[in-house]
Amino acid sequence: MRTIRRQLTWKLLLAFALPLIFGGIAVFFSTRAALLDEFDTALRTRALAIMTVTRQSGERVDAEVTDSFMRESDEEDTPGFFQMWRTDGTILKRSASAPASGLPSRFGTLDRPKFWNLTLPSGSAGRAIGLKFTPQTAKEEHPPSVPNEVILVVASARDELNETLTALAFALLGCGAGLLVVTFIVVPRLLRRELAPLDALADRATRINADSLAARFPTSSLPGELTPISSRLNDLLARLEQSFERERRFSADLAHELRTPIAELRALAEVALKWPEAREATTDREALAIAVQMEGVVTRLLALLRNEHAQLPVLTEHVHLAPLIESVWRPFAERAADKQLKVTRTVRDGAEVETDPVLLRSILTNLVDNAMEYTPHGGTVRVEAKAGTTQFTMQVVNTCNDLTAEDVSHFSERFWRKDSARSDPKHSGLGLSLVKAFSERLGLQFEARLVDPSTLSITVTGPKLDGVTETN
Amino acid sequence: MKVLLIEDSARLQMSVGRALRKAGYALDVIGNGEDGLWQAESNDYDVIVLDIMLPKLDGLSLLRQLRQKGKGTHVLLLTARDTVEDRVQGLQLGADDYLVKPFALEELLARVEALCRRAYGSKQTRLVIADLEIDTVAKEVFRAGNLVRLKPREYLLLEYLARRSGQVVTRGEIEAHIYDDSVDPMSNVVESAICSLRKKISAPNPAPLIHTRHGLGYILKVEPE
Repeated sequence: MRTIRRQLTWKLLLAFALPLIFGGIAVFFSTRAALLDEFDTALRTRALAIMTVTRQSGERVDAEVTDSFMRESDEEDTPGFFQMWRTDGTILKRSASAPASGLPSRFGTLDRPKFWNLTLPSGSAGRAIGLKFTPQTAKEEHPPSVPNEVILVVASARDELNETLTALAFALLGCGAGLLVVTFIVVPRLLRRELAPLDALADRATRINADSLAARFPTSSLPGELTPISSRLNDLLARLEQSFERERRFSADLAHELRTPIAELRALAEVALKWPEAREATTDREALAIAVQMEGVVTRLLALLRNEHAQLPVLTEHVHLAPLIESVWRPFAERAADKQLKVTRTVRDGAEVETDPVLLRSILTNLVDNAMEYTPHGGTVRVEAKAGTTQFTMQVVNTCNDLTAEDVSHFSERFWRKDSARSDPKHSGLGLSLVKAFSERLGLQFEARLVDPSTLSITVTGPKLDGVTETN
Repeated sequence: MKVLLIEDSARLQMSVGRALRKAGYALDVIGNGEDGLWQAESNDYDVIVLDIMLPKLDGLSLLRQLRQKGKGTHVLLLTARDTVEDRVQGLQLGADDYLVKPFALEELLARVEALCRRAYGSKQTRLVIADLEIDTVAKEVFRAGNLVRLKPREYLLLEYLARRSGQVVTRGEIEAHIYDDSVDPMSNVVESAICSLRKKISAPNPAPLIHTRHGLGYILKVEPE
């Protein structure tokens, strides 16, 4: 499996190994070049020393050089060699230790002598310098008419140099290999330790299921790179938990809204059949009330479902708001009087909306019904509609008891009711869901808010572009 | 047998209440959790039929508090919640049975009766004391092989005494288990019922089975002559 740890291990190893290899090679060759340069300087010094003691007198060239001269500057077991020629190939002088076959005659100028590697008579590796020079003339002598030119080759064993270079190569290889082995052992362990919070996060994530959505990832103990991930995961879990909770509540509420009236109807019928003599006059009326209650729930649910699947037709036409509000209000007037509610209705003359009249009526009816039902005895209800220059607004404001902002945020959830026992069979908790759904269908905005702890405002707003006009 | 029904639906209170009363149970009906808890704590019911979604105090909280206070009354949860989690939660909190709405009345009555039997540590549906036989399913009584016709309240009284045969049952216990709150505690309804019951079960065989322990109560048993 492709893991961050494995990827990091290999990449870190590669990142260590490549500079190590190239650095080792660079160190080796730069050291080799420096040592060779030093060796060549020594050879050149020796050649210059020989040149210094080489004199010409007329056609004669003399060099006061002996093998002991060569040994003076060399280790005893690695003597140097030299050989001197005239330009015609005549050997002028050579060290006794020089090979019988002679040294190869290769040379450069005094300024740019030639250096090369060769095999010494002992079979060991050596290095030589070759140059052409004009020997000095003795002071008392007249210089020759044609200066004599001499070729000088000086060679020396380079075993020590080779050994030093071999030792350096082994040292570099050993250090490099050791470092790689240490890296190979240490890096995975370090990664394992440093990535432990990531492993813990993954482990915690795998243990989360639908039953443990209340669990949260730690944020304080995590490294900075993981904190945002943990925070986002926690946000996601919170939303999932809310969503699951909403689904659970919806299922429980739906079960209650459908099962309870069926249970009531069934019990009513069974009692009437089992003990017909005890059948009460209210039985049929109760059965009808249950049927009407269930019909209401089913009708609202179907309307929501059809709206979700865009199966509710929207037939747009001019709707005058004043008569609409009056006709919606009329059936509630008696209830308002019974509860001694103070109701005001404010509609600007001539306000018109171009929208679906059936859906708009349903929205307004549900809002007014909601206000009539939940406004406490003697409270106030204000129904307003206005069409301004930019937007159209319908608003129902009423006094309320025991409502919190948290309650209001659930208003548009299906089956939500403040009374968790859902005892009142007259309500199902679908009215405001319908208002929100129909508003969205008509392109209107639904907003419910607490103006103050005892005043609830529900507003439906639409833009002017949706066809709202105002006539004078 | 005395049953407490805690249910907020007025229609279910009416229907289930009528069915339980017709089946011969003394019944108290409460419509919210707080009053239900108080009633359950203050009385000695054989079975409590408990809804979960209740106003003021939900059924599960009521059950939890009841068990925490050491009340072991058998509880049948009657609810619309039908998920496995809901059932498991209810039973883990100490419910003895769980019935999902909608339900068949016959099933509810059978479950309540089974819980009543368990309340007296018996799984038998036939109670036999000497030549007295009580069929608790058919609600029939035989003495010396002859059918004894009893009124519902008389039957309940006899069954209660039979289930506790050999023990002295006080007047208060009889009132608590056989009669609901509508009975005036100062009335002589228990004495009248005992008297009537004695007469009816003595008809086939005059050997007395129900004996009075003065100042204590009544005992149903065969006493050596």
